[in-house]
Amino acid sequence: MKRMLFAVALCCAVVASSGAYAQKKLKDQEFRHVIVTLASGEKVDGYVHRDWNTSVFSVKKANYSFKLVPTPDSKEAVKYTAEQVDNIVFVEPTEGNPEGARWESRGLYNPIIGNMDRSTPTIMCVEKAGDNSTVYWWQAPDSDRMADGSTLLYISSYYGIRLDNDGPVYMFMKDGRPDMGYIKIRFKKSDPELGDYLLTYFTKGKEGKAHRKELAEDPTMIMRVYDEYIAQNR
Amino acid sequence: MKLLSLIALFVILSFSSYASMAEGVIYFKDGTSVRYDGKDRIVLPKGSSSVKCYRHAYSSSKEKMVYTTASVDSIVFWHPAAAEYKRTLVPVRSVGWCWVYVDAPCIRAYIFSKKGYGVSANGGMSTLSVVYPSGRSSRVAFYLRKSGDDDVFPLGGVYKRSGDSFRDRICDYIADDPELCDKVRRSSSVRSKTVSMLAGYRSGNSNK
Repeated sequence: MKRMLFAVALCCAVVASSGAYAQKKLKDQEFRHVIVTLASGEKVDGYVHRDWNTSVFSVKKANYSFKLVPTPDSKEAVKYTAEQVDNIVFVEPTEGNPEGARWESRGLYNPIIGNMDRSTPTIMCVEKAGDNSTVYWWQAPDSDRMADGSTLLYISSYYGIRLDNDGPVYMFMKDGRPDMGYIKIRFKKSDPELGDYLLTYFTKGKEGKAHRKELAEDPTMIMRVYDEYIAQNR
Repeated sequence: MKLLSLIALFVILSFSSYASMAEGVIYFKDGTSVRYDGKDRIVLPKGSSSVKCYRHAYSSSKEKMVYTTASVDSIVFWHPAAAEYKRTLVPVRSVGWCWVYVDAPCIRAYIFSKKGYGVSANGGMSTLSVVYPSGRSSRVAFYLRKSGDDDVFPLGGVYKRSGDSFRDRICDYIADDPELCDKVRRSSSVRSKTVSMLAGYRSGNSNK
């Protein structure tokens, strides 16, 4: 059983890495050309050698560290962690990111009993930046226990919002399903008016249901809701 | 540590940052058009499905409209938060709903994604795909069509390795533009970037 699991994991790791390895053999490596701004303000121009994304088989921490090389052919990889980095901008625009993907290192609100202010440094992608808030997305491994006792491993997609473009990022959607739990926990005491406003907008009654549907299709909608709140209250 | 039984290696590469509903305009073959914006939405069609749209898409009083694929010429659509980035879907005979990836005077390149398409608030467009336990993934492929041709030319998977055989297939199709052919053969990029070069295709360039 152990040998079979190891063989499966090894095969999948080979399959998963072969595509990335083959892409690195191409002469045109601009798809992984980035400019990294460190927390100190210094900018580093390089090529992603190992990215911060993860798979269900990965043992490294998701969205936390990556390795950069100065040129595509260089073997001198330098490791950076989420604490050391402010943002990572991909130089080449793509159809998926017409203005070049921008990833930022932000604190992801992640409270535990005894520390309700805890946040975890996480590298996440900017979905849309606004004057009053920014919405991010990221992916991370997750698991579900099945009825027969076995475990299903998969990758979940998350959305979060950073209010006032300051402080931590609050997750509000997972796999297309809105989840206001962290917002509720955070703002219950610190800003109950804001917490009530968002919870009422997205959870109360038929209108709340309609708003949740719209949020699932357009996560940046929460930015407009926050803009309206600010306009009414500040 | 209790070992985990991996009973299903089912990784959904669904890029769920992308919405499958969008604002847009449907252009019909009879010359008419219908617009869906504001709170109205078009469900981006996939495969050979008909086009479903909703007025007041998120309310309990939403109205569903369905248009047959045969009646539709094209759909121009955009994400509500990124109206400046417009894309086009067209129904391609014998293939299905395709994203117009390159739209040049002499040639078009399409991307067909069996599982459909999505748009995101940053203006991005992506294909949706699924990786099955066997390791196989759902089909996402390039097709080419020169202006005036009825049939499309299958070019191969979008996300496969970009090698000489891929570039040779492109050159076989655009053999009447040896200058572009030469550029394609000398390129060493991911497949999508190589296909983007076809925007410079000029039919019969060898006669100049």
